[in-house]
Amino acid sequence: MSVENAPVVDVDEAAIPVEKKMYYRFESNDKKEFRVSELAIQQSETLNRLVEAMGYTSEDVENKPAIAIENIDGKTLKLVFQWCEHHKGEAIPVDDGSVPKIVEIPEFDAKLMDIDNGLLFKLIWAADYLNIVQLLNVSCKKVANMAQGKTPAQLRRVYLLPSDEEDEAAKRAAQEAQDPRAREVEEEFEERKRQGGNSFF
Amino acid sequence: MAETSPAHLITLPDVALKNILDQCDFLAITNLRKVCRDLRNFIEDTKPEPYHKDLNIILYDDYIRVQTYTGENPWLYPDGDWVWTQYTKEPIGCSVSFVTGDKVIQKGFPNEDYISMFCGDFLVNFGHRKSVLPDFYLNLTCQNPEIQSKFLESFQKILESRIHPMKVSTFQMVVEKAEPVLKILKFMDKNSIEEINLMSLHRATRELDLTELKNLKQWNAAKKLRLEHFQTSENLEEFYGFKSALVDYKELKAQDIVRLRNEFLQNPRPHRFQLMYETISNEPLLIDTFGQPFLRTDPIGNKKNWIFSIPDTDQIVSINLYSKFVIFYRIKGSDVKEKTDPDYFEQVWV
Repeated sequence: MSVENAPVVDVDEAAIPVEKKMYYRFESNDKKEFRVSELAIQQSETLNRLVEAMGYTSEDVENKPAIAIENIDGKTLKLVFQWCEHHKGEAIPVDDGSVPKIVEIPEFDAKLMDIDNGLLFKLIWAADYLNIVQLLNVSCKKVANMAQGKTPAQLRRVYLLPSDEEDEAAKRAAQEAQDPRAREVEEEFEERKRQGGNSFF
Repeated sequence: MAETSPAHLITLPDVALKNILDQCDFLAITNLRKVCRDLRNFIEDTKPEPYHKDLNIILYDDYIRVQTYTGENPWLYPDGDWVWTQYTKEPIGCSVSFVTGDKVIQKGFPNEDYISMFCGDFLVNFGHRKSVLPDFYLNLTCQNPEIQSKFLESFQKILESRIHPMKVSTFQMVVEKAEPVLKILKFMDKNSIEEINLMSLHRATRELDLTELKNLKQWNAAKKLRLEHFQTSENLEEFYGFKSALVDYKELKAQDIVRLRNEFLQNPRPHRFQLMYETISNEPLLIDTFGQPFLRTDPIGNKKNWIFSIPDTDQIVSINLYSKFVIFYRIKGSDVKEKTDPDYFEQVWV
């Protein structure tokens, strides 16, 4: 099933479904509204508990304001709900701490996550916040796969990370702005660390 | 949850970052350690355990080679999952080489000793590992007793310093004698050990003194034992605790073969025993006790074959006497028809 055909019903973009099922309304922080089936919501432990606690009837869902998810934007939330609808009814995996952690990325998920890294990180962030175990697993797997065969410099570019030097410069600038003595302390600390030996890895 | 969206990897919640690292391979973790301080600190705090299938450590006179399989693909990294690192003694200090399929990355450490360098990296990568390493292989090819004892002492210290003993499933060592095995094996977790393989360094059969080894908890917890190119003078009964064993005798007594047959008939534990021998004493006892064998030829050679039903089960024990070894194997009821066919033979270990 393609991303476009996923049974997500965004009030802004699609019609209300004919099926007589319980659909909850959610609103992103940029005021995008989504209708999500009860079964799809079960993929998110956070949302599932929330709707259970609210105990809405079908009428409440229509008459009361949409449930606000204040720290996730519409673009990210749309991906989240598309994923939940596609995987609704599936068992939620239990992390038994086994090594290696075996996670397969299904074709639908791969297409859904064909997005820029910034949005991918937001998706991971949302999956963690909403406690959607399998979405977190597959999105983290995608990020882990990106690390394969890359040098530290390439990894910095891929993961948008600063090098130690850049990081230090930024921290120093911030510290100096607050306390000029901080730089001396930092340098002394670094010197001590340097004397502590080195390692290939 | 933070109020701003994540700008980069390190700003992800800890649970997510841990999940990512748990799914990274060994080299990705190694490289991620070098990316930035925050990530390195996170890796040191959470100690992710990338998958390793094999860990092979080979000690030579002037260098230590470490080969790991991080997956199933036998090609050298980056085409495959085979990772090769070498710690070499240099006139001043040491060098560390990382060998990939198409290049060698080498770095010099003027004031470091190659054994210490290896131990430092081992501590970082395996020192805190809690999960079971499927295959641990330590080859003491080095002939210099001073270097060997320095290596063993340093390596032992790491194993000893662990809060939890190291977990390995198959424990393999290539050695000249039992002493180094004792030093290392006693620090392994007895609950994870399935198999112990000891191989003679020279591939020329010699005696291995098992007096102390057989008292180790790890030895007694293992289910399989292979002593390759090592002869023993221990009574065969000493190996009855194993499910499978490969043992080599200078002179094998026919009486031992009869006793082992009885053990297979009476005890459900023995599954497969292979006894190597140079000579076999009192061989006619076998025909006197077992009756006339089937005379068969298979790709291994000519053999005398006896088959006995195991009482109160649907299983049988098949005894296959070749010119230099005898193999016992237990056959499950469902396999009896296939495995007692005259053309059938089991793959041998050596």
